[in-house]
Amino acid sequence: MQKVVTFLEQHVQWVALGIGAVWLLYMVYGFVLTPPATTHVGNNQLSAGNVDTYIADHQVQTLQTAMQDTKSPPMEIPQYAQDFKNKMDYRNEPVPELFAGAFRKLPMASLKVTAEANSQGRFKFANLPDIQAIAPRFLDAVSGRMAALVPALDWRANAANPNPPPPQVVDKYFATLGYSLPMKPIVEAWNAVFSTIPAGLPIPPQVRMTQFLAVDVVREELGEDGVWGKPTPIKPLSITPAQPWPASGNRADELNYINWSSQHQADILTPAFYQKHAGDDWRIPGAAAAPPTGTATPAVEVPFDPANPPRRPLTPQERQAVMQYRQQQEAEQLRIRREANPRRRPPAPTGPKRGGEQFAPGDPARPESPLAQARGAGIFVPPDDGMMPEWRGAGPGPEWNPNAGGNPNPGAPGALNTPQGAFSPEQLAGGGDVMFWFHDDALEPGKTYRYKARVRLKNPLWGQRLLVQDRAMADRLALDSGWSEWSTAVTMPRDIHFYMAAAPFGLRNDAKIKIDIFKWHKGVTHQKTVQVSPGDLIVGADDEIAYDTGYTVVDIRELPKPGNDFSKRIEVLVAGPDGRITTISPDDVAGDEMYKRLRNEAAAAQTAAAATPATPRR
Amino acid sequence: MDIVKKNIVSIIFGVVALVAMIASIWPLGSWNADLDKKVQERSRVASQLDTMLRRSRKLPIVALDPNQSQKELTKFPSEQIIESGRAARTKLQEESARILDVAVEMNKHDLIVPGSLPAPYQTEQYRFREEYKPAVDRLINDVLRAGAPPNAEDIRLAQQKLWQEKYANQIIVINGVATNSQEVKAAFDAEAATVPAKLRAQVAMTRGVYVNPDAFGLHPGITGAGAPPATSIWEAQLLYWIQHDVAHAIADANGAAPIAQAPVKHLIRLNLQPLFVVGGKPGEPNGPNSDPGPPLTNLSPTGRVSNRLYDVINFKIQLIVDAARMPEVLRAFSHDRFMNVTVVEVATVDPAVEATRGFMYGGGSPLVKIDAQCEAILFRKWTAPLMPKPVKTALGIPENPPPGA
Repeated sequence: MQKVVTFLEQHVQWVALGIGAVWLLYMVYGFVLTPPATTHVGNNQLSAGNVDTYIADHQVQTLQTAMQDTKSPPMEIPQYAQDFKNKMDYRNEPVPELFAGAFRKLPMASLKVTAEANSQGRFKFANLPDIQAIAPRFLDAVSGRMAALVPALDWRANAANPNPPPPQVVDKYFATLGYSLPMKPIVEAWNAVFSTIPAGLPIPPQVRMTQFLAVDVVREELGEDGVWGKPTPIKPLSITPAQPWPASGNRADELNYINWSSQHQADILTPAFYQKHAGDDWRIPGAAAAPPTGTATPAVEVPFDPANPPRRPLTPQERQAVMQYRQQQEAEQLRIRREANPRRRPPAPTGPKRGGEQFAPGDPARPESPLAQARGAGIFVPPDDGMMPEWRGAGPGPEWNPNAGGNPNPGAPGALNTPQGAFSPEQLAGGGDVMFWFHDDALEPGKTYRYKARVRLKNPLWGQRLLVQDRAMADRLALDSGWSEWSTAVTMPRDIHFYMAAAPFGLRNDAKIKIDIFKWHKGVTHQKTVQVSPGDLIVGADDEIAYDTGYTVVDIRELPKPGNDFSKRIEVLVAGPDGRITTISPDDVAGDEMYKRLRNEAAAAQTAAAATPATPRR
Repeated sequence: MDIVKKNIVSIIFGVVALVAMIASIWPLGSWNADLDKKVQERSRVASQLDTMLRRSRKLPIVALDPNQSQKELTKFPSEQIIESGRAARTKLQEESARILDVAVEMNKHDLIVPGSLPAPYQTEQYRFREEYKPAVDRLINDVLRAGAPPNAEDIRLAQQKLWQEKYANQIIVINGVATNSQEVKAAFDAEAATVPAKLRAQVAMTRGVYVNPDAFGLHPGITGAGAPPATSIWEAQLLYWIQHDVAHAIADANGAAPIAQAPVKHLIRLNLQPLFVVGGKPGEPNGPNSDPGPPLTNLSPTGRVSNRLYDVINFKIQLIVDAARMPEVLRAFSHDRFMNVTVVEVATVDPAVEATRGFMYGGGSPLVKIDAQCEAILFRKWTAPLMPKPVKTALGIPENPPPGA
């Protein structure tokens, strides 16, 4: 220990210096070689002493330089207004061109197509299809009498008369004759002509197309002498859309008629019949008659809905129900529109108008218009399909009439093979023969008639003057089929019958006899008993029914009954409108089934009328 | 004490060294920490400056195309650059507003009778009734230079004039007897037979377009007796404005050319109603007083419906035009006009058939009949001040809009 003290006493200064030196080295290391406060700015490590200088020399300087940069990058605002003007003006924009020959490729039954196709004139048809030897086949005749509901065809909606008047009840004696047109021979007639086209000649297939232009019908009436009278052409019913046959050679009229008939094939071939109020049913010729009341009817899976008629041939009643439903719908829509805006312009054939929501046209579930008030104010919303209804500005809608076009479901093309428009016979023949019918409602009671018919097809080469050898071939509008055989005779029931119901008590010069007259009127048999004497006309009248038999009482006589000296037979001699004398007698009435039936019908009608409460009068 | 005296210097140094060692821990240690903190702070400032300088910045969008992408600003946004960006934005807003002004100015129409809308006095109502039909007639006669095939009476009068002016004085009468009446009559008949064709050709070479008599309908609420109400006047004006644009479009397409050389040969009809296409009730989305929304393509091909900026009207037009120039005709409708042809159906026309009706269309190229559905737009900025009060109510337009609306 002493040695240590001694050493320290001798060398303390060196110890102190050593410690000082170590400390100094530590200080140098701690504060000089490894500064206690350093940082990195960018990639440089800076001490506390030079960090500010560095920042000032670099970052701050750069920022100051950037902030003093006044040169703005380009921010050009285009002259949008001027550009907009230029766009609206189509400035510097060429008019687009149609591709070459755009319209030459359109199918059209015009000279241009065929002229183009046959530009070298290397082929011309020598003949037209010959269908004169092809005659429709008579199928069936439906006849009877009916109190028909005839709509007011001349009614047009206007402010004073917005709703259609109810249809009128009109007695109709009718006959409907059904025919079948064999298509196979027509196809053969077509092929005989069009198979002559040379292969490769680009004649458009439209040239083969045809359509039904008309059904011609004539009838003959059986005279009193048992001889058929002169043939009389039959006109379509008043409810059947029809166009007059174009004047020969008037190409514009012919074209109009072709256009019209292409859209009315069903009206031409299978026109609708009247809706029945009372009387006999109408049915499709060849179809089974409706079962009489009280008989069992086949089960029906789905009730008939006139709003959604099934895709099958409709019965006459169903067709009438569809027509009535559509009339009611249109009248209801018209009423709604007029109530919504009494000042509203003419009715348009569209449903209630609204926008933004989607409903099928005619969808009964469509709600009330969202802008009903707007209509009242003169602002209107569009129909559901977003398109404007047809409107010509002034005056009532000239083309719209809910009662017009009485063909609610014309034919049933699938079953009757009725074309929808122009057709090629090959295509139509695929569905079999074409059935058609026509109506005659201008018949007189008690008369007998027979009919024959033919169809008129459009000449497929009509207007194709450059394709035919004889220009007259192209000027001919129709190709006529042969006439059918005469139909079976159709006899109309008489509308008036009269019987001497009872013998007078005692036969004196001034004796009056009672005559029962039965008159069929508006679908119902009415009875009127009148008292007449020799020289009197057998007539009577009620409020609206004239019981005019046309007969006159000539004489009343009493004859002994054969084999019975005590009993007399009373006979009345009556003279008909043609002067013929016949006799009637109460003795003939007893076993007359017709008399019984008429009495029963009249009694039933009277009972029904009595059961109907009378309309109270004010 | 001697040792102290002898080593005083060493002791002093030792003390100093000791103090220095203690001082290196306290307070020099905390001073070092503060200094380091300050240095790091400086470092962060330097980083912020760097970030500020190098941050990605975008230039303002100065295009009206919503799909336009923003460009990079490659410079530091100095005050001047910021100011120029603000100026660009302001200019864009002004340009946008100017487009609307230009569109409105292009779209704006005059009233037939000034002051007749929105709340006319009775004087204006009667004046409108008087001047409505003449205004429509001027469109037909002056703007369209409409023509029609000569009717039987025209032909008869022309033949009568021909006789009186050319043939009547050729009759030689001797002793009260016309000696050459048969020859003159034969010559007259021969020339008279050419009169219908001449008259038709005259129409085709002098008039601008064939116009059917019922092509331009009149509003039924105006033509009757009495003062027409403001709403009827409004509807009639709507019809007239569209008719005006259609007439001028056809006139522009045809220029001064006669029918035989014009692209539009025949205006068959213009079906038009004063109906606005709306997408909902007022207040609802797509309603007539809402902001323009997405297109409702279930209502029309363009999907446009009336909104607070404009109203939409649909109409149909039927024309016979030169097929080769059909694009030119269709474009004429939207040339400086806010009308679009949205749907076109085209059918060929046989000029030979039309000639039998007296229409001489001329030209050698095929003709087509156009059934076009069109759309017209009317800007509220000018129509709203003309709308009668019930119309505004129905559209949900406030009678006194708030300032700035």
